[in-house]
Amino acid sequence: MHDNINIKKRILHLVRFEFKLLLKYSQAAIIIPVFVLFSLLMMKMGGGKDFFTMIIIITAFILGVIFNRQFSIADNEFILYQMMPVSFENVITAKNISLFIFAVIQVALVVSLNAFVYGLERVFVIDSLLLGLFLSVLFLSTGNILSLRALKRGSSHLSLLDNIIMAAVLLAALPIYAVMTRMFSVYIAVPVYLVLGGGYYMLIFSKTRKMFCRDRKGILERLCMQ
Amino acid sequence: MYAIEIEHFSKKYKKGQIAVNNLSMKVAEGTFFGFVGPNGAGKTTTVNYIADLISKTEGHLKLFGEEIREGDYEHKRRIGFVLEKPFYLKKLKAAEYLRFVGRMQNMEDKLVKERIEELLKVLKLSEHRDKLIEEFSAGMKKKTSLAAALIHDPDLLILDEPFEGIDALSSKIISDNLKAMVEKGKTVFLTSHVLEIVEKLCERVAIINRGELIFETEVSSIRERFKDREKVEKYEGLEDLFLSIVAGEEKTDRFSWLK
Repeated sequence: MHDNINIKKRILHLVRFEFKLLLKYSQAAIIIPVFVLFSLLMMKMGGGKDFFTMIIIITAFILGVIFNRQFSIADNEFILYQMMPVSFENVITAKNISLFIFAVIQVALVVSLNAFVYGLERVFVIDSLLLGLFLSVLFLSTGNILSLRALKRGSSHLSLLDNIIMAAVLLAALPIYAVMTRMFSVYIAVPVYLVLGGGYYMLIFSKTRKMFCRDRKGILERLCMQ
Repeated sequence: MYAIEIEHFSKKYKKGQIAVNNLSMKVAEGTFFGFVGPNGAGKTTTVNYIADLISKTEGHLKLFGEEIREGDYEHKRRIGFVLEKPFYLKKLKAAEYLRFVGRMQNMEDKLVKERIEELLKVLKLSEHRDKLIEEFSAGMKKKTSLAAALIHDPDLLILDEPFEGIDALSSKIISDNLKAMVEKGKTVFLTSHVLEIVEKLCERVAIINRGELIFETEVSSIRERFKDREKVEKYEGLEDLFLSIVAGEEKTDRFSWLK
Protein backbone atom coordinates (compact mmCIF):
# COMPACT_ATOMS: atom_id res chain seq x y z
CA MET A 1 0.00 0.00 0.00
CA HIS A 2 2.72 2.40 1.07
CA ASP A 3 4.77 1.46 -2.01
CA ASN A 4 1.81 2.14 -4.29
CA ILE A 5 1.47 5.64 -2.85
CA ASN A 6 5.19 6.20 -3.33
CA ILE A 7 5.03 5.04 -6.95
CA LYS A 8 2.04 7.30 -7.66
CA LYS A 9 3.91 10.22 -6.09
CA ARG A 10 6.93 9.47 -8.25
CA ILE A 11 4.81 9.34 -11.42
CA LEU A 12 3.26 12.66 -10.48
CA HIS A 13 6.72 14.18 -10.04
CA LEU A 14 7.71 12.66 -13.34
CA VAL A 15 4.75 14.22 -15.19
CA ARG A 16 5.43 17.61 -13.58
CA PHE A 17 9.10 17.35 -14.45
CA GLU A 18 8.39 16.24 -18.01
CA PHE A 19 6.04 19.20 -18.42
CA LYS A 20 8.73 21.52 -17.13
CA LEU A 21 11.25 20.01 -19.55
CA LEU A 22 8.75 20.38 -22.35
CA LEU A 23 8.43 24.10 -21.64
CA LYS A 24 12.18 24.55 -21.27
CA TYR A 25 13.30 22.52 -24.24
CA SER A 26 10.61 23.54 -26.68
CA GLN A 27 11.14 27.16 -25.68
CA ALA A 28 7.38 27.34 -25.29
CA ALA A 29 7.80 30.56 -23.32
CA ILE A 30 8.90 32.12 -26.60
CA ILE A 31 6.79 30.14 -29.05
CA ILE A 32 3.42 30.69 -27.36
CA PRO A 33 3.55 34.52 -27.03
CA VAL A 34 4.90 34.82 -30.58
CA PHE A 35 2.12 32.56 -31.78
CA VAL A 36 -0.55 34.52 -29.90
CA LEU A 37 0.79 37.81 -31.28
CA PHE A 38 0.82 36.32 -34.77
CA SER A 39 -2.80 35.21 -34.34
CA LEU A 40 -3.87 38.68 -33.19
CA LEU A 41 -2.06 40.30 -36.09
CA MET A 42 -3.74 38.00 -38.56
CA MET A 43 -7.10 38.74 -36.98
CA LYS A 44 -6.54 42.47 -37.43
CA MET A 45 -6.00 41.78 -41.10
CA GLY A 46 -9.32 39.95 -41.35
CA GLY A 47 -10.35 36.58 -40.00
CA GLY A 48 -12.83 34.03 -41.24
CA LYS A 49 -13.23 30.29 -41.10
CA ASP A 50 -10.37 29.57 -43.50
CA PHE A 51 -8.08 31.67 -41.41
CA PHE A 52 -9.26 29.89 -38.32
CA THR A 53 -8.45 26.54 -39.87
CA MET A 54 -5.03 27.84 -40.81
CA ILE A 55 -4.38 28.92 -37.23
CA ILE A 56 -5.29 25.47 -35.98
CA ILE A 57 -3.01 23.85 -38.57
CA ILE A 58 -0.13 26.08 -37.48
CA THR A 59 -0.87 25.07 -33.89
CA ALA A 60 -0.58 21.46 -34.90
CA PHE A 61 2.72 22.15 -36.65
CA ILE A 62 4.05 23.84 -33.53
CA LEU A 63 2.97 20.82 -31.52
CA GLY A 64 4.89 18.70 -34.00
CA VAL A 65 8.01 20.78 -33.49
CA ILE A 66 7.57 20.58 -29.73
CA PHE A 67 7.11 16.84 -29.92
CA ASN A 68 10.29 16.57 -31.93
CA ARG A 69 12.17 18.66 -29.38
CA GLN A 70 10.75 16.69 -26.50
CA PHE A 71 12.07 13.41 -27.83
CA SER A 72 15.29 15.01 -29.01
CA ILE A 73 16.50 15.13 -25.43
CA ALA A 74 15.55 11.53 -24.84
CA ASP A 75 19.13 10.26 -25.09
CA ASN A 76 20.05 11.73 -21.72
CA GLU A 77 16.66 11.35 -20.20
CA PHE A 78 16.18 7.64 -20.67
CA ILE A 79 19.60 6.92 -19.20
CA LEU A 80 19.06 9.34 -16.31
CA TYR A 81 15.70 7.80 -15.50
CA GLN A 82 17.35 4.40 -15.53
CA MET A 83 19.35 5.52 -12.48
CA MET A 84 16.15 6.27 -10.57
CA PRO A 85 13.48 4.09 -8.99
CA VAL A 86 11.06 4.43 -11.89
CA SER A 87 10.05 2.05 -14.67
CA PHE A 88 10.49 2.67 -18.38
CA GLU A 89 6.74 2.27 -18.75
CA ASN A 90 6.10 5.12 -16.32
CA VAL A 91 8.50 7.37 -18.20
CA ILE A 92 6.71 6.81 -21.52
CA THR A 93 3.34 7.38 -19.85
CA ALA A 94 4.54 10.58 -18.18
CA LYS A 95 5.93 11.87 -21.47
CA ASN A 96 2.63 11.28 -23.22
CA ILE A 97 0.56 12.80 -20.41
CA SER A 98 2.68 15.95 -20.36
CA LEU A 99 2.53 16.25 -24.15
CA PHE A 100 -1.21 15.71 -24.15
CA ILE A 101 -1.77 18.36 -21.46
CA PHE A 102 0.40 20.73 -23.45
CA ALA A 103 -1.49 19.99 -26.67
CA VAL A 104 -4.87 20.59 -25.04
CA ILE A 105 -3.70 23.84 -23.42
CA GLN A 106 -2.26 25.12 -26.67
CA VAL A 107 -5.34 24.35 -28.77
CA ALA A 108 -7.74 25.60 -26.11
CA LEU A 109 -5.74 28.79 -25.76
CA VAL A 110 -5.93 29.61 -29.45
CA VAL A 111 -9.60 28.73 -29.82
CA SER A 112 -10.58 30.71 -26.70
CA LEU A 113 -8.55 33.68 -27.83
CA ASN A 114 -10.26 33.73 -31.21
CA ALA A 115 -13.67 33.19 -29.67
CA PHE A 116 -13.05 35.95 -27.16
CA VAL A 117 -11.97 38.46 -29.81
CA TYR A 118 -14.74 37.68 -32.29
CA GLY A 119 -17.52 36.38 -30.07
CA LEU A 120 -17.89 33.49 -32.44
CA GLU A 121 -20.75 31.08 -32.65
CA ARG A 122 -20.57 28.08 -30.42
CA VAL A 123 -20.68 25.65 -33.33
CA PHE A 124 -17.75 27.37 -34.94
CA VAL A 125 -15.70 27.28 -31.74
CA ILE A 126 -16.44 23.59 -31.23
CA ASP A 127 -15.55 22.97 -34.87
CA SER A 128 -12.16 24.65 -34.44
CA LEU A 129 -11.49 22.91 -31.17
CA LEU A 130 -12.35 19.60 -32.74
CA LEU A 131 -9.97 20.12 -35.63
CA GLY A 132 -7.22 21.21 -33.25
CA LEU A 133 -7.64 18.17 -31.05
CA PHE A 134 -7.92 15.90 -34.07
CA LEU A 135 -4.58 17.11 -35.39
CA SER A 136 -2.97 17.02 -31.95
CA VAL A 137 -3.95 13.41 -31.41
CA LEU A 138 -2.60 12.50 -34.83
CA PHE A 139 0.66 14.19 -33.95
CA LEU A 140 0.88 12.45 -30.60
CA SER A 141 0.15 9.04 -32.11
CA THR A 142 2.43 9.43 -35.11
CA GLY A 143 5.08 11.00 -32.91
CA ASN A 144 5.06 7.96 -30.63
CA ILE A 145 5.58 5.61 -33.57
CA LEU A 146 8.28 7.78 -35.14
CA SER A 147 10.12 8.23 -31.83
CA LEU A 148 10.14 4.49 -31.28
CA ARG A 149 11.56 4.02 -34.79
CA ALA A 150 14.23 6.64 -34.10
CA LEU A 151 15.22 5.14 -30.74
CA LYS A 152 15.35 1.67 -32.26
CA ARG A 153 17.86 2.82 -34.82
CA GLY A 154 19.95 4.27 -31.98
CA SER A 155 19.08 7.90 -32.55
CA SER A 156 17.11 10.16 -30.27
CA HIS A 157 16.29 12.60 -33.04
CA LEU A 158 13.52 12.44 -35.57
CA SER A 159 15.03 12.44 -39.06
CA LEU A 160 13.98 14.58 -42.02
CA LEU A 161 12.04 11.56 -43.33
CA ASP A 162 10.23 11.29 -39.99
CA ASN A 163 9.20 14.93 -40.23
CA ILE A 164 8.00 14.42 -43.81
CA ILE A 165 5.93 11.42 -42.65
CA MET A 166 4.50 13.57 -39.87
CA ALA A 167 3.52 16.31 -42.36
CA ALA A 168 2.06 13.70 -44.76
CA VAL A 169 -0.12 12.26 -41.99
CA LEU A 170 -1.34 15.74 -41.18
CA LEU A 171 -2.18 16.50 -44.81
CA ALA A 172 -3.93 13.15 -45.22
CA ALA A 173 -5.96 13.83 -42.08
CA LEU A 174 -7.45 17.09 -43.32
CA PRO A 175 -9.66 15.59 -46.05
CA ILE A 176 -10.81 12.91 -43.61
CA TYR A 177 -11.78 15.61 -41.18
CA ALA A 178 -13.51 17.64 -43.92
CA VAL A 179 -15.56 14.60 -45.00
CA MET A 180 -16.41 13.83 -41.40
CA THR A 181 -17.74 17.32 -40.68
CA ARG A 182 -19.59 17.55 -44.02
CA MET A 183 -21.32 14.25 -43.43
CA PHE A 184 -22.32 14.99 -39.86
CA SER A 185 -22.93 18.12 -37.86
CA VAL A 186 -20.21 19.00 -35.36
CA TYR A 187 -22.50 17.79 -32.59
CA ILE A 188 -22.31 14.32 -34.08
CA ALA A 189 -18.70 14.68 -35.21
CA VAL A 190 -17.54 15.50 -31.65
CA PRO A 191 -18.59 12.21 -30.05
CA VAL A 192 -17.50 10.31 -33.16
CA TYR A 193 -14.13 11.99 -32.93
CA LEU A 194 -13.85 11.42 -29.21
CA VAL A 195 -14.50 7.72 -29.62
CA LEU A 196 -12.46 7.15 -32.79
CA GLY A 197 -9.66 9.66 -32.18
CA GLY A 198 -9.34 8.83 -28.50
CA GLY A 199 -9.50 5.11 -29.23
CA TYR A 200 -6.92 5.39 -31.98
CA TYR A 201 -4.55 7.33 -29.76
CA MET A 202 -4.96 4.95 -26.83
CA LEU A 203 -4.34 1.99 -29.11
CA ILE A 204 -1.19 3.49 -30.60
CA PHE A 205 -0.02 4.67 -27.19
CA SER A 206 -0.42 1.27 -25.53
CA LYS A 207 1.13 -0.56 -28.50
CA THR A 208 4.16 1.74 -28.72
CA ARG A 209 4.58 1.75 -24.94
CA LYS A 210 4.68 -2.04 -24.98
CA MET A 211 7.22 -1.96 -27.80
CA PHE A 212 9.31 0.69 -26.02
CA CYS A 213 9.37 -1.49 -22.90
CA ARG A 214 10.05 -4.72 -24.77
CA ASP A 215 13.06 -3.20 -26.50
CA ARG A 216 14.09 -1.18 -23.42
CA LYS A 217 17.52 -2.76 -23.09
CA GLY A 218 18.24 -2.50 -26.81
CA ILE A 219 17.30 1.19 -26.79
CA LEU A 220 19.41 1.94 -23.72
CA GLU A 221 22.34 -0.04 -25.07
CA ARG A 222 22.28 1.86 -28.35
CA LEU A 223 22.01 5.19 -26.52
CA CYS A 224 24.94 4.24 -24.25
CA MET A 225 27.05 3.39 -27.30
CA GLN A 226 26.61 6.86 -28.77
CA MET B 1 26.30 -9.71 3.51
CA TYR B 2 27.36 -8.55 0.07
CA ALA B 3 26.34 -5.28 -1.53
CA ILE B 4 27.14 -6.61 -5.01
CA GLU B 5 27.31 -10.21 -6.17
CA ILE B 6 27.98 -10.84 -9.83
CA GLU B 7 28.00 -14.43 -11.01
CA HIS B 8 29.26 -15.61 -14.39
CA PHE B 9 28.49 -12.34 -16.14
CA SER B 10 29.28 -12.39 -19.85
CA LYS B 11 28.53 -9.78 -22.43
CA LYS B 12 28.97 -10.51 -26.09
CA TYR B 13 28.01 -8.03 -28.77
CA LYS B 14 26.31 -9.01 -31.98
CA LYS B 15 29.49 -8.80 -34.02
CA GLY B 16 30.98 -11.49 -31.78
CA GLN B 17 33.09 -9.08 -29.77
CA ILE B 18 33.40 -10.25 -26.15
CA ALA B 19 33.28 -7.30 -23.74
CA VAL B 20 33.20 -9.32 -20.52
CA ASN B 21 33.71 -13.07 -20.16
CA ASN B 22 32.43 -15.09 -17.20
CA LEU B 23 33.06 -12.47 -14.53
CA SER B 24 32.23 -13.38 -10.95
CA MET B 25 32.85 -10.94 -8.15
CA LYS B 26 31.57 -10.13 -4.67
CA VAL B 27 31.75 -6.78 -2.95
CA ALA B 28 31.12 -6.91 0.78
CA GLU B 29 28.96 -4.26 2.41
CA GLY B 30 30.89 -1.40 3.95
CA THR B 31 33.84 -1.80 1.59
CA PHE B 32 35.64 0.73 -0.58
CA PHE B 33 36.16 -1.45 -3.65
CA GLY B 34 38.38 -0.51 -6.59
CA PHE B 35 37.84 -1.94 -10.04
CA VAL B 36 40.71 -1.23 -12.40
CA GLY B 37 41.84 -2.28 -15.84
CA PRO B 38 43.24 -0.87 -19.06
CA ASN B 39 41.07 0.89 -21.66
CA GLY B 40 38.51 -1.46 -23.17
CA ALA B 41 39.01 -4.07 -20.44
CA GLY B 42 35.29 -4.26 -19.58
CA LYS B 43 35.02 -1.92 -16.57
CA THR B 44 32.30 0.31 -17.99
CA THR B 45 30.40 -2.70 -19.39
CA THR B 46 30.36 -4.16 -15.87
CA VAL B 47 29.19 -0.85 -14.38
CA ASN B 48 26.50 -0.54 -17.07
CA TYR B 49 25.35 -4.08 -16.23
CA ILE B 50 24.99 -3.17 -12.55
CA ALA B 51 23.20 0.02 -13.58
CA ASP B 52 20.79 -2.05 -15.72
CA LEU B 53 21.74 -0.17 -18.87
CA ILE B 54 22.77 -3.15 -20.96
CA SER B 55 21.54 -6.66 -21.48
CA LYS B 56 23.63 -9.62 -20.46
CA THR B 57 24.58 -12.63 -22.53
CA GLU B 58 24.78 -14.66 -19.34
CA GLY B 59 24.98 -14.07 -15.64
CA HIS B 60 23.21 -13.14 -12.42
CA LEU B 61 23.29 -9.99 -10.37
CA LYS B 62 22.40 -9.69 -6.71
CA LEU B 63 22.33 -6.39 -4.88
CA PHE B 64 22.10 -6.52 -1.09
CA GLY B 65 21.29 -10.21 -1.36
CA GLU B 66 18.35 -9.76 -3.73
CA GLU B 67 18.39 -11.17 -7.23
CA ILE B 68 17.86 -8.34 -9.73
CA ARG B 69 15.51 -9.21 -12.55
CA GLU B 70 14.75 -7.46 -15.83
CA GLY B 71 12.81 -4.26 -15.19
CA ASP B 72 13.30 -4.18 -11.38
CA TYR B 73 13.76 -0.64 -10.15
CA GLU B 74 12.88 -0.35 -6.43
CA HIS B 75 16.45 -1.28 -5.43
CA LYS B 76 17.67 1.92 -7.08
CA ARG B 77 16.48 3.86 -4.05
CA ARG B 78 19.53 2.44 -2.25
CA ILE B 79 22.03 3.12 -5.03
CA GLY B 80 23.75 6.17 -6.49
CA PHE B 81 25.38 6.08 -9.91
CA VAL B 82 28.01 8.21 -11.58
CA LEU B 83 28.59 6.97 -15.10
CA GLU B 84 31.78 7.55 -17.06
CA LYS B 85 30.03 9.87 -19.48
CA PRO B 86 28.15 12.34 -17.31
CA PHE B 87 24.50 12.48 -18.31
CA TYR B 88 22.62 15.63 -17.48
CA LEU B 89 19.77 17.77 -18.68
CA LYS B 90 21.53 20.72 -20.19
CA LYS B 91 18.67 23.22 -20.05
CA LEU B 92 18.32 22.90 -16.29
CA LYS B 93 20.28 24.51 -13.49
CA ALA B 94 22.12 22.16 -11.15
CA ALA B 95 19.68 22.84 -8.27
CA GLU B 96 16.65 22.18 -10.52
CA TYR B 97 18.07 18.87 -11.66
CA LEU B 98 19.03 17.81 -8.12
CA ARG B 99 15.59 18.73 -6.83
CA PHE B 100 13.98 16.44 -9.36
CA VAL B 101 16.34 13.57 -8.50
CA GLY B 102 15.65 14.06 -4.78
CA ARG B 103 11.88 14.09 -5.26
CA MET B 104 12.06 10.96 -7.43
CA GLN B 105 13.88 9.28 -4.55
CA ASN B 106 10.85 10.01 -2.35
CA MET B 107 12.65 12.57 -0.23
CA GLU B 108 10.76 15.31 1.56
CA ASP B 109 11.00 18.66 -0.19
CA LYS B 110 12.52 20.35 2.86
CA LEU B 111 15.26 17.76 3.11
CA VAL B 112 15.89 17.94 -0.64
CA LYS B 113 16.41 21.70 -0.42
CA GLU B 114 18.79 21.36 2.53
CA ARG B 115 20.82 18.67 0.79
CA ILE B 116 21.02 20.68 -2.44
CA GLU B 117 22.42 23.68 -0.59
CA GLU B 118 25.00 21.52 1.15
CA LEU B 119 26.00 19.58 -1.96
CA LEU B 120 26.40 22.74 -4.05
CA LYS B 121 28.43 24.37 -1.28
CA VAL B 122 30.73 21.44 -0.59
CA LEU B 123 31.25 20.64 -4.28
CA LYS B 124 32.01 24.31 -5.01
CA LEU B 125 29.06 24.74 -7.34
CA SER B 126 27.18 27.38 -5.33
CA GLU B 127 28.58 30.31 -7.25
CA HIS B 128 27.41 28.74 -10.51
CA ARG B 129 23.88 28.14 -9.35
CA ASP B 130 22.38 30.55 -11.88
CA LYS B 131 24.07 28.88 -14.82
CA LEU B 132 22.49 26.15 -16.91
CA ILE B 133 24.30 22.80 -16.77
CA GLU B 134 25.20 23.18 -20.46
CA GLU B 135 27.35 26.18 -19.49
CA PHE B 136 29.32 24.10 -16.97
CA SER B 137 32.86 22.83 -17.54
CA ALA B 138 33.42 19.06 -17.85
CA GLY B 139 34.49 18.85 -14.19
CA MET B 140 31.45 20.78 -13.00
CA LYS B 141 29.17 18.48 -14.97
CA LYS B 142 30.85 15.49 -13.33
CA LYS B 143 30.36 17.08 -9.92
CA THR B 144 26.67 17.62 -10.71
CA SER B 145 26.36 13.91 -11.56
CA LEU B 146 28.07 13.08 -8.29
CA ALA B 147 25.72 15.38 -6.36
CA ALA B 148 22.75 13.60 -7.98
CA ALA B 149 24.20 10.24 -6.94
CA LEU B 150 24.72 11.41 -3.35
CA ILE B 151 21.57 13.42 -2.66
CA HIS B 152 19.53 10.50 -1.29
CA ASP B 153 22.41 9.19 0.85
CA PRO B 154 22.60 5.80 -0.90
CA ASP B 155 23.87 2.61 0.71
CA LEU B 156 25.82 1.75 -2.42
CA LEU B 157 27.65 4.17 -4.67
CA ILE B 158 28.78 3.04 -8.12
CA LEU B 159 31.37 5.44 -9.50
CA ASP B 160 32.79 5.09 -13.00
CA GLU B 161 35.80 7.40 -13.35
CA PRO B 162 34.37 9.98 -10.90
CA PHE B 163 37.52 12.10 -10.71
CA GLU B 164 37.92 12.71 -14.43
CA GLY B 165 38.17 16.45 -15.11
CA ILE B 166 37.83 17.37 -11.44
CA ASP B 167 40.35 19.74 -9.87
CA ALA B 168 42.66 18.71 -7.02
CA LEU B 169 40.78 20.54 -4.28
CA SER B 170 37.41 19.08 -5.25
CA SER B 171 39.01 15.62 -5.64
CA LYS B 172 40.27 15.85 -2.07
CA ILE B 173 36.86 16.93 -0.77
CA ILE B 174 35.12 14.15 -2.68
CA SER B 175 37.66 11.54 -1.53
CA ASP B 176 37.24 12.59 2.10
CA ASN B 177 33.47 12.37 1.87
CA LEU B 178 33.61 8.98 0.17
CA LYS B 179 35.87 7.69 2.93
CA ALA B 180 33.44 9.04 5.51
CA MET B 181 30.60 7.22 3.75
CA VAL B 182 32.46 3.91 3.99
CA GLU B 183 33.21 4.57 7.66
CA LYS B 184 29.46 4.87 8.17
CA GLY B 185 28.98 1.40 6.66
CA LYS B 186 28.15 2.37 3.08
CA THR B 187 29.71 0.63 0.09
CA VAL B 188 31.62 2.38 -2.68
CA PHE B 189 32.44 0.66 -5.96
CA LEU B 190 34.97 2.74 -7.85
CA THR B 191 36.54 2.41 -11.27
CA SER B 192 39.40 4.70 -12.14
CA HIS B 193 42.38 4.94 -14.42
CA VAL B 194 44.22 6.82 -11.71
CA LEU B 195 45.77 3.98 -9.75
CA GLU B 196 47.11 6.31 -7.07
CA ILE B 197 43.56 7.28 -6.13
CA VAL B 198 42.42 3.66 -6.04
CA GLU B 199 45.39 2.69 -3.92
CA LYS B 200 44.82 5.58 -1.54
CA LEU B 201 41.08 5.09 -1.13
CA CYS B 202 40.22 1.45 -1.65
CA GLU B 203 40.52 -1.44 0.76
CA ARG B 204 40.11 -4.06 -1.92
CA VAL B 205 40.92 -4.01 -5.59
CA ALA B 206 40.05 -6.17 -8.59
CA ILE B 207 41.84 -6.04 -11.92
CA ILE B 208 40.05 -6.78 -15.16
CA ASN B 209 41.81 -7.29 -18.47
CA ARG B 210 40.36 -8.23 -21.86
CA GLY B 211 36.98 -8.88 -20.27
CA GLU B 212 38.24 -11.27 -17.62
CA LEU B 213 38.74 -10.74 -13.93
CA ILE B 214 42.33 -11.70 -13.41
CA PHE B 215 43.18 -10.57 -9.95
CA GLU B 216 41.57 -9.54 -6.69
CA THR B 217 43.29 -8.64 -3.45
CA GLU B 218 43.40 -6.45 -0.36
CA VAL B 219 45.19 -3.20 -1.21
CA SER B 220 47.17 -3.45 2.03
CA SER B 221 48.69 -6.76 0.93
CA ILE B 222 50.08 -5.46 -2.37
CA ARG B 223 53.26 -4.08 -0.84
CA GLU B 224 53.86 -7.29 1.01
CA ARG B 225 55.47 -10.21 -0.73
CA PHE B 226 52.79 -11.68 -2.86
CA LYS B 227 52.63 -15.21 -4.18
CA ASP B 228 51.69 -15.39 -7.84
CA ARG B 229 51.28 -19.13 -8.48
CA GLU B 230 54.83 -20.15 -9.35
CA LYS B 231 56.90 -17.11 -8.61
CA VAL B 232 57.24 -14.85 -5.64
CA GLU B 233 57.52 -11.15 -6.40
CA LYS B 234 57.62 -7.90 -4.56
CA TYR B 235 55.52 -5.00 -5.72
CA GLU B 236 56.15 -1.34 -4.97
CA GLY B 237 52.48 -0.54 -5.17
CA LEU B 238 49.27 -1.01 -7.13
CA GLU B 239 50.75 0.45 -10.31
CA ASP B 240 53.60 -2.02 -10.18
CA LEU B 241 51.23 -4.93 -9.63
CA PHE B 242 48.86 -3.65 -12.33
CA LEU B 243 51.62 -3.32 -14.91
CA SER B 244 53.06 -6.71 -14.11
CA ILE B 245 49.66 -8.35 -14.53
CA VAL B 246 48.32 -6.39 -17.49
CA ALA B 247 51.52 -5.98 -19.49
CA GLY B 248 52.77 -9.48 -18.55
CA GLU B 249 55.86 -10.46 -20.41
CA GLU B 250 55.41 -7.78 -23.06
CA LYS B 251 58.08 -5.13 -23.19
CA THR B 252 57.07 -1.50 -22.86
CA ASP B 253 56.59 -0.25 -26.37
CA ARG B 254 58.36 2.88 -27.50
CA PHE B 255 57.91 4.85 -30.73
CA SER B 256 60.57 3.83 -33.28
CA TRP B 257 61.76 7.41 -33.66
CA LEU B 258 62.46 7.64 -29.94
CA LYS B 259 64.56 4.52 -29.73
